[in-house]
Amino acid sequence: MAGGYVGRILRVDLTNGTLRDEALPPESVLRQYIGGLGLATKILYEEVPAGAKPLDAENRVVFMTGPLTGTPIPGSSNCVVATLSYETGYTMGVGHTHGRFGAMMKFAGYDGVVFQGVSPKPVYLWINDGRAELRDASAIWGKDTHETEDLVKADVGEPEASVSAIGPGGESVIAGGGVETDKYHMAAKGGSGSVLGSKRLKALAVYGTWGVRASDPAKLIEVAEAWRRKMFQGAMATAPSLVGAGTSRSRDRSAARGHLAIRNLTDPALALEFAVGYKEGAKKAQIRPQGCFSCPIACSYRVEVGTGPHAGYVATLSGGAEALEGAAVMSGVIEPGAVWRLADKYDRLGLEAGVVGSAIALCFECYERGLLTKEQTGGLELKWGNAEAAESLLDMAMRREGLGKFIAEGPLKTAQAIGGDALSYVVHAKGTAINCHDFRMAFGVLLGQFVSTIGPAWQALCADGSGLEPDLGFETPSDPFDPTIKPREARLTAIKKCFDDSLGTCMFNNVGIHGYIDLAGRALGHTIGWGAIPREEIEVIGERVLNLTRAFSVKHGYKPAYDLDISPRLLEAPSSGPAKGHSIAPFVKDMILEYYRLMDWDAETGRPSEVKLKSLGLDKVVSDLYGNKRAGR
Amino acid sequence: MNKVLAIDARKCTGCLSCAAVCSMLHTGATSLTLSRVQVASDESRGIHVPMMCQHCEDAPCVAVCPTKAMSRSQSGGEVVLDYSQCIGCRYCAQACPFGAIGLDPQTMKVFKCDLCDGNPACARFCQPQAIEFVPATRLRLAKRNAEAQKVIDSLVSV
Repeated sequence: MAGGYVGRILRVDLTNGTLRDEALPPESVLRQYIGGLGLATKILYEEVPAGAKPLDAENRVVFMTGPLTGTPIPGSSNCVVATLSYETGYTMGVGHTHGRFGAMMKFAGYDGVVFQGVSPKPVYLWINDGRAELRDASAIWGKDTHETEDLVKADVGEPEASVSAIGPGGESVIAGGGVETDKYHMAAKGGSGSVLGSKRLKALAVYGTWGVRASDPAKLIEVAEAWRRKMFQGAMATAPSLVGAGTSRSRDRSAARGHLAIRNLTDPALALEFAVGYKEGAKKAQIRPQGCFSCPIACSYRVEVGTGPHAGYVATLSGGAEALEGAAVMSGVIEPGAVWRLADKYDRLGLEAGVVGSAIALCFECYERGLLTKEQTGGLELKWGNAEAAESLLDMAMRREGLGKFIAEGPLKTAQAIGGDALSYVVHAKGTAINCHDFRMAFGVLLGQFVSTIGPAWQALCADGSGLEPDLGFETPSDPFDPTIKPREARLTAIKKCFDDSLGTCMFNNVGIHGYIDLAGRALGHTIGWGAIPREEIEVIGERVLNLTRAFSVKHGYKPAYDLDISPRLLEAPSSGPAKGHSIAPFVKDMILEYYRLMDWDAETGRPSEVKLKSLGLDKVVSDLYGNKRAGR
Repeated sequence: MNKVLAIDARKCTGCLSCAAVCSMLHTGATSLTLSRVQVASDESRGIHVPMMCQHCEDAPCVAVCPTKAMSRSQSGGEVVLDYSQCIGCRYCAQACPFGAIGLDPQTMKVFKCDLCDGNPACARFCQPQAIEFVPATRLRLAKRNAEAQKVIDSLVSV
């Protein structure tokens, strides 16, 4: 192989502590799945047996880079973390780590790592210049993700190592357990941190001096430079609003659009007040943008709180605002220092704030409405904005004490435990949290959360909210409330996202770029040595990966109507803000059915059709889903 | 007119775009160890400092080189390394005040920034403009203006 790939992955059987090098699949297979999400999906589909539960030893956690990871292509920091989702139990759960981890894993000599089994004692994995070993993590077990990183670096004696770690949240197998990398970035979604906790894998540390080769370095650099330039051109590019820790300075636009998740989505207009205070807090704070490997955006940031009760506190946060909203704003906490500090606490615990925070915000609403009493909350006054109470509930979830018992099981379980109207108030799809924003202001993004094959997550971004796709024909934002146009948007953007996530690059560097598909095809070609990949092939790759993620869900028990497993709160019209009065409820079923029709998925079962699967070269999946006899015909 | 590298560590995000493109350009592979530009970080403070050959006017590496492999270019703008003369003694690496000269473990010869034939890739790939390649007369401008702004702000509030 000419370039891009290292050429091997590491298989770690935690049950007996064995490590084995495995060659990457042959080029013919790589060309069908590329890497990242594509390869991780293929591995999970083939290896996790039907009937397996997320915490079973048979479940895998796959860390997978792509061929562009660690190259000069912008945002080439991505490493996918995928598993049978602990949140849904039947879809894949897919997170993404950033920072330096993915690049450093390749410099250390591996394209990816597959974990299986359960270790008898806590261990961590150390990979250095082609050598890998499991080391005892008993002394580190119980430490938060940031302490873990420091202790592991000291233990391996390499201060420039990159570390991905679970925290006490993953160790305690809390719903929403993620993997924190380099103190700034969390692979959230799907509870991979909790699955690793059940396997007693505390951390991965990687460091190496190897290179990531390109087949045509000069041409690759040319593409990388053009890609970087185009990222910052045009209003549809996402990069300008995020650049230099943009999220840390202002939430004005999000608040004005009704996109900000506040007070459990009860009153979007209140976000305006939060945004005013946030901007003031940001002006008084000391903020330093932190760039992931080869990323010109640098959305992550170190913030030292400058004013208020938490002045002097230092938080290290990633650039998306989901953690801010999940950790704090959903419970009505809007004092900037408290928002940053709470988000940081979730990172340290190794918990996705959107998941645990949605359960906590539900408790706040139920208390405000009289559904929960002070006796039930253990004496906590769950009034909107009570930051101490929000933190106490988080601590109770960690100890599985009182209400915390249910919060630790996720938002839907919390609603079921409270009972009554709590089931109308909870924010969930498929039983777990959505990406923590208020998407009722854009039916396309909302639909994307419902039909995502990896549990509610960024998959189908559509063209009305979170970024445009000029290459797909979406040059300007579409009508956010026109239900007839969303299924097509969802299909095209989901296919693109599945391709993007297989490259080893970050989505913020992929969205809204004129000529992106051509750039990506050339980048792959000049890196690996395949020649430029044409657009038609790129679309088939994306569609193949998307369909295989769907087949994974079918194999693991997807039932008709699971895509309609949506909480009433997400279906109802917002009470205020620009989307006031707009409810997706009358349209949602037809939208999902139309999406299936466009995807060639069965309206009754949700399964991809035989014809579609065969056209994508997924013949093996045909026999899995439809039986050998029919596949043979 | 001679151009020089102007480095402002206050702007550096530690993204290593410079090192990625530098090593790809010079070695055909992204490699942090073989990159001519290095980024040293104080991670707890979130501060990153790009380090590379400063092409010193009175360059210690040129002075100590026993074979004249290290020399000032004809145009005078850069310190250049002639591999046909280099004996791999590493005196230059010892003498460099910045640790900007690396040793390639394959060839056991030293390597350093060559300014990419007058169009440094690191500067082109540095979005926050922590590394810029500017005419010598403009070297002080960014810092001058940033410091002046503090004075301006203090006068405005008087």
